[in-house]
Amino acid sequence: MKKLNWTLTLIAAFIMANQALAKDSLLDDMNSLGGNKKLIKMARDIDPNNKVRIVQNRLVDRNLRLELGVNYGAFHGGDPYLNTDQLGGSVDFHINPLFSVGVRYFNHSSTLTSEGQRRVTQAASARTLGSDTGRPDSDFPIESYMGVINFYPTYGKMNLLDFSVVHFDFYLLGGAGQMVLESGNSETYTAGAGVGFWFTQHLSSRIEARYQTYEDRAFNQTRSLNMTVISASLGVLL
Amino acid sequence: MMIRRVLFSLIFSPLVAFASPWSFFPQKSESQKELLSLIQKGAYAQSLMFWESSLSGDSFAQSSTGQAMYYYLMFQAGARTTALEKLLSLNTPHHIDGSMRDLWREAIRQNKSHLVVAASYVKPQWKGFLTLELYQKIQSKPIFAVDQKATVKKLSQLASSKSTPSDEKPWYQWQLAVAAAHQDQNQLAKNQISRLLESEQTLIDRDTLYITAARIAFQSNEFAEAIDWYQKVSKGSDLWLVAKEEIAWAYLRNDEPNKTISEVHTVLSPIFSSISGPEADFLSAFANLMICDYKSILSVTNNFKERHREKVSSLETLVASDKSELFGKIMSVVDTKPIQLSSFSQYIRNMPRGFQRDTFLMDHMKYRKAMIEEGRILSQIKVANAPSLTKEAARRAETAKKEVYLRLQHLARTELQEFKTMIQKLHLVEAEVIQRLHLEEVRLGQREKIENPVPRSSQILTFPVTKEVWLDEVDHYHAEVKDCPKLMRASL
Repeated sequence: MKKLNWTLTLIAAFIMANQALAKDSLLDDMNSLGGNKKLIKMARDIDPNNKVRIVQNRLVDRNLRLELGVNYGAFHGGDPYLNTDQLGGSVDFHINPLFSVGVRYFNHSSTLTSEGQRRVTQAASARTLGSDTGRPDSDFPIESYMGVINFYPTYGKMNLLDFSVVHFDFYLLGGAGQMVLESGNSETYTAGAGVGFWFTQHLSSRIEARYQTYEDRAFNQTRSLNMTVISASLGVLL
Repeated sequence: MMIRRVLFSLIFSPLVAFASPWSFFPQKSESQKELLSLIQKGAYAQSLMFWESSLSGDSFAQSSTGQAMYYYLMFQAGARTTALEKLLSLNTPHHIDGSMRDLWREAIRQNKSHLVVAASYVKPQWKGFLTLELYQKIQSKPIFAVDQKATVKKLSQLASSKSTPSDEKPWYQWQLAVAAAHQDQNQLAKNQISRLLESEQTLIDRDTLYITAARIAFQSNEFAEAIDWYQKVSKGSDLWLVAKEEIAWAYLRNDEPNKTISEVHTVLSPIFSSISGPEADFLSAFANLMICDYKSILSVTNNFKERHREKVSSLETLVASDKSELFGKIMSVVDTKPIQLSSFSQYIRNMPRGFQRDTFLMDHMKYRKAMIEEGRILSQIKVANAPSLTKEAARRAETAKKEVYLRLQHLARTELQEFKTMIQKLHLVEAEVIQRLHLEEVRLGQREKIENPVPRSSQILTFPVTKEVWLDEVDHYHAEVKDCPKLMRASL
C-alpha cells in the first residue's frame, strides 16, 4: 500500500510539472506554482521554525569613550513654595555599551511658586498689622554634584525624519552626591531611567526622568524632600 | 651665438603666443574678414550662415582644412555628433592645417561625452590627427572571441608585447583574463586579474575585476576565495547585488545553506524587487530544500508569482511589438531626459534586467538623443545644406530607435528564457517537496540545529525581520536553521 502511495505521488508530481511545462504562456506556468493548499498545510505541520534575524553592529562605538554634556532640567515636587530648575554639565565614561559611570554638576535657580508668593504677600500684610505669622520658610538649593552609574539593558533604533537611522538605548541610573543649599550641604540620592540617542560618532542626546531626595532646613527643622527631575541633555562623544 | 638665440626667443616667443589660431583662414575679402571676426567672437551659428556667401569661389572651402573648419564651427554650434562624424568621414586628415588640428583636438577633449556615438566612423589614418589618447577614446575596443583557442595566444602576445602601447595593454589583459577563464585556464586568468589590480589602470573598473576574480575562483571550486573576492565589490556598484547572489551560490556549494539563506534574503528584499532576477528565488527554494524547510520553499514559489508577474507580462509585450506602451514610455525618457539609470527609475521594474550595463543599447539611446537635438539645432542654424542635414539627423534618430527596440527585444527575450528555465526548476523543486512530504522520516524525524550562532558581543544588535524593510538592515540578515529531520534508530 505504501509503495502504491509513493508511485501515485511521483506520477502526480511529474504530471503537474509536465502540464506546467506544456502550457504556452509563461504567466500560466508561473501561476501554477505554489498553489497547492493541501501541500502548504502538510508543510506547515512540519515547520522547522527556522529563523532569520537582522544582526547589525552598533552605529556608534561606546567602548571606553567619554561623553561630555550640557543639560537642562526642572524639579517637580519637593518644596511646595519653590519652582526650581537646573542647568548643568556632565561627564560620562562609557566602559562598554552596557555600562557607564559619570559625574554631574547642576546649578539651580529657584523662584517662588504662586502659592509661595501668596503666602509671602499674606505674611507681609500681616506684618503691617503687627503679626509675624504665616511667613513661609524655604531652603533654596544653590548647586549640586553627584556621581552616577548607568546601565543600558535594552536598545532600539528609529527613523529620524527619513534623514537617518538613529540607535538609542534605554538606561537605568543610580547616583549619590551633595546638594548645596542656602542652609549648608546635604546628601542627595537619585535613581531613574532615560533614553540616550546616539546620533553620530560624536553627537548624543539624553532625555531622563529620575527620583531625587535630600534633606533641607525650614524653620530650623530638617525635613526630607522627594522630587522628580526631568531633564534633557546634548552631548559630545570623544 | 647663445646670446643671439636668447634674444631671438625673447622677441619672438610673445608674438608666437599671441598669433591667431586662424592664420590659415583666407582674408581676401571684407566678408571673409567679417566671418573671421564672428568666429573669433564665438558666434559659431551665425558664422555658419555666412560661410557659403563669404567663401563662394574660394578653393579653401573645398580643401581638407576648409571642410574641417566648417565641421568645427558646426561642432561648436552644438551639432557635435554630426560634425564629428562628418570630420571623420574625410579621407585626408594629414592635409588639415596644424592649427585647425589643434583646435579640433581641444574641442574633442572638452566634449568627451559625444565621442562614443562616433565610434564606428574612426579610420586608422585619424590616429595621428587625434593623438593616441583621443583616438583610443573614440575608437571602440576590439572584442575577441573568447571561446577560440587562438584568442588566448594572440592576446598573450598583445598583452606582453613591447610594441603594444601601455594604454592599450589593460584592455588586452582584461580580454585575456576573460578568454582564459572561458577556456578553463584559470591560473592564467587569475594572473591577468592580479596584474590589472596591481596596476594603476582605470580602463577596467575595480568592481568588475573583483567579481571576475570571484567567478574564476568559483569555477575552480575555491569557494572561500571566491567569497572573499565577492565581498570586495563595493556597495555603490551595480554589480553588488549580482555579487550577493553569487556569494549565496558559493556558500551553497560550500555546504553552508544557512549562510546562503542569509545572503539570499538580501537579494529577495522587496527594495530590490525591480532589479533582482528569478534565479534568486530558485536559489532560495533550493537552499531550503537542502535543509528540508518545505514551508519556506512553498512560500518562495508562492511569492515568486507576486514578485515577477508584472515583469513577465511587460517583457512579453515588449517582445511582441515596438508599439507597446512600455516601449513608448522608454523612448519618451530617451528623448526628453538624460540617458542615465535614474531617468528610467519609473520603468526599471518592467524593463530587461541590467539594461543599463548594455553598452550597445545605451550608446544607441545616446545617439538617438543626440540626433534629435542636433536636428533641431541644424534646422535653426539655416545653413545652405540644413534641410538635408536635418533630414539625415532625423533618419539616423529613427534608425537608432529601431536599434534600441531590437536590442531591448533581444534582452527581454533572453530574460524571458531565464524565467522559463527558473519556473521549470521551481516546478521540479515543488515535485521534490511533494515526494518528500510523504516520507516517514520527514514527518517523524528530529532536526539538528546547524551551528551558525550570532556572535556574542555588546557591540552586536539583533532585530526581528518584519515586512517593513529598512535600508540599513539590508545585507545584515542572519539565518539560524535546522538540518533535515532524521529518524533516531536504536543501535547496538
